[in-house]
Amino acid sequence: MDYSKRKYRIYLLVVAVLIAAAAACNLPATIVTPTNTLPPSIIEFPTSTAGVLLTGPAAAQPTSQPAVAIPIPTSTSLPIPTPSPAPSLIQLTSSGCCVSPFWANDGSGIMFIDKPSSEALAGIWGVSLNGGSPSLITTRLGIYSKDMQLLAYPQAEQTYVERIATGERWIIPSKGRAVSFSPDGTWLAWTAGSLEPPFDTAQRQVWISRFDGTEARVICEVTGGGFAGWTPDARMVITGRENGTTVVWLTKEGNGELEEVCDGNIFEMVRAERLRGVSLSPGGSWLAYQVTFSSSPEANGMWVVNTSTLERRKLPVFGAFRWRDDDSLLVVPLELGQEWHLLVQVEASTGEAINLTTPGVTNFKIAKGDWSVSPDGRYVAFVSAVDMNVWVMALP
Amino acid sequence: MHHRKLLLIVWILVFFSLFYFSKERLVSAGLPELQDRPFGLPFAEPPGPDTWLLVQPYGNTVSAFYQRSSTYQAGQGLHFGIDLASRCGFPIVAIGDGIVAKVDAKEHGSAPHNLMIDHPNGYASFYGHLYETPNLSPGQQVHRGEVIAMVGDPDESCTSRPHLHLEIRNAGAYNRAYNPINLIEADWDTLALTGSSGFSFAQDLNEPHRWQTLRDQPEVQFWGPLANDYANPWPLEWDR
Repeated sequence: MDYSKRKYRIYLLVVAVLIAAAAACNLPATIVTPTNTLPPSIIEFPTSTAGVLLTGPAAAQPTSQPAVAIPIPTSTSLPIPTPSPAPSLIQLTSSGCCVSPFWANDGSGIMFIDKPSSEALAGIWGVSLNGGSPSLITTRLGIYSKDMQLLAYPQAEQTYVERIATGERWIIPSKGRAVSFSPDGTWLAWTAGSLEPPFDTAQRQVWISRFDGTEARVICEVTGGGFAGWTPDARMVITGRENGTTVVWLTKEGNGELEEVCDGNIFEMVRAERLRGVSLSPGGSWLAYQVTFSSSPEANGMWVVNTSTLERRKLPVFGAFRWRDDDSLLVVPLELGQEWHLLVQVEASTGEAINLTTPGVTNFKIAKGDWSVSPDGRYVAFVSAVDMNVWVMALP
Repeated sequence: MHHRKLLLIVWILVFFSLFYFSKERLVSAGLPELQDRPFGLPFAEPPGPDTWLLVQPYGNTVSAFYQRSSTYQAGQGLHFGIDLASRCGFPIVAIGDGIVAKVDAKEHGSAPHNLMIDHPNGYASFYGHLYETPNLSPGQQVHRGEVIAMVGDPDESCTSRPHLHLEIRNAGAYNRAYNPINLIEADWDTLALTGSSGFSFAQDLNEPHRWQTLRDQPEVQFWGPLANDYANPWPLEWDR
C-alpha cells in the first residue's frame, strides 16, 4: 500500500469515527425501543384490530345513591417520589405520524384519523400494539356507539344515525348538532341553544332521544353549560352556571327513564368558580376537575369528588390528567422547563400519590396534550414532542 | 496538492456532519433554538391554577375552524394568536423591549381594550381583551418584563372567560400574524398539557398531516382567503 492510499484511508476512518460520534450524541438519552415490534415480554394483547371500538373502558357501575351531606374538603400531602420499575416505551408509528391517537376498545391497538399517502383512503387507521404497518379500519367517520354498530354523522344540516350492518338510518331531531350515545347505545343526548358569547349566560337545553330519534324531549334547561357525559349506568352529567360559579349535576336515574331531570331528579356534585376539565372515572365512582383563578386561592387546584358520597379531596398535584381505572388518576404535573415529563399516579380514595416515571430513566415528552390511557389501564399512548410519532408506555 | 484537496474535503464533511447532528440533537431533545425565539412570556409568574394557563394555541384550531366564516374570517379562518386564561386584573408584562404603537385600536378587535407594541426586530406584539385602557401612550418606551396591562374578559363580566389574547404581527403594517409559539421562549409542550384536554387542530382529510403541531402553523394574511375551508374536513361539520 503506498503512502497516499494509506493516508486517504486514514482520512476516511477519521470521518467515519467523527460522524459516528456525532450520531451517537444524537441518540435520545432514553431507554426506548425504536421499533415497530414489541419485545416478547410486552406482547400480551391480541393482535387483531377487528371489532375495535371507539369509546372508553367499561367498568363496574355505581349503584348507591349519593348522600345529601356535603363533607368538608380534605387536602393531602405532597407526592413522595417512589422508586418503581421503569416503564418501557415502544414506538408505534414513524415519519411523524399521527395525531390524536385513541384506543381500540379491546386495547389491542391504537387508532387515528389518517390518509397515509396520496393514494390511500382517508379514514380511521389502526396499528396493533404488536407493531406493523398501520391498516385501514374504516372510511366511515363520525361518532360511533360503544359497540361500533351505530354511527352518527351530519349531512345537509341534519343529524343521522345509521346502523352500520344494514345501512338503515334515521334522522335525529338535533338539527345537525353532534350527539352522544349512551353506554348501551339505546339513547342519545345533545345540547341545543345559544353558542354565542357571552357563554356563561347562554341559555341551553339538554335533549335526549332513543337512538332512532324517537321520544325526543328536553330534560333540562341550563345556563352556560349542557350535557357533559354518561356514567356507565347511563346517568347523565350536566353542567351549568349559577351566580358566577360552575355547577356539575348528576341525574339520579339513567337510560332515559326521566322526563324532566332538572326538577328534583338531579343532584349537585360540585360547585366552584372557574371550574374546568370535568372527567368521570371509568366506573363512574369519581369525578375529577380543576378549579382555577378562584377568588379563594385555597380552592385552586385539582379535585376529585365521589359521585355517591360526595366526599371531596384536593389532590397534591396539578397538571394534565386522565383516569387509569375507577380510582387511579394519572397526572402529568405542570412544571415548566423540564426536559422530560413526569407521570404521577394519584388514588382518588386516599389522595396517595406515587411517581410512575423517573425523568432521566423513562424519557418522554407529550406533544400538545395528546395522550390517552388504554381501556385496561396498563398502557399510555402519546404523541412524542421529540419526533411527533405515536409511542406507547407500558405502566408498572 | 492532491492531499490538501482531500484534506479540505474531509474537514468540510466533518464540519457539516457535526453541524447537522448537533442541530438534530437540539430538535430531538425538544429544546428551543434560542436565537429563533426573541420574546418572553407575557406573564411574570409561572403557569398554574392561581395564575394562568394556555387554553388555545395559534393556528388551525378546531374552535377557529368551526368559526372560520364568522369570528376568525378576518384571519383566514385561523386562530391568529394564543389565548391564555387568567383572572381579571392579572398583570401582563411586555414580551420584549419596544415602543407603544397603539392603545385601544378598535380596528384590531380584541375588545374591550387592547395594546400594540412595536419591537426593534420588526415584530409587533398585540395584547387583547384587556381589563382597562393601558396607562401608556403611543411612542412610550417599554421594557421586556415590565407590567403594561391587566387581563380582562371579552364579555366584560370577569366571570365568563377572562383571558389574554396575544398576537405577534409585522410592525407598521400589522397585516400579518405569526405563530407566537415559534417566537416566544417557553416550554410549550408542557404548557399545552393543561388548560384543555388536548389541543386538536382541524384536519383536511386530503392532507391530514398538514398543520397538526403547535409549531407547524401557517402565517396569517389578514383578510386573505380562508385557509381551512376544507371540502373533506375532520372534525365533521356539525351544526353549532
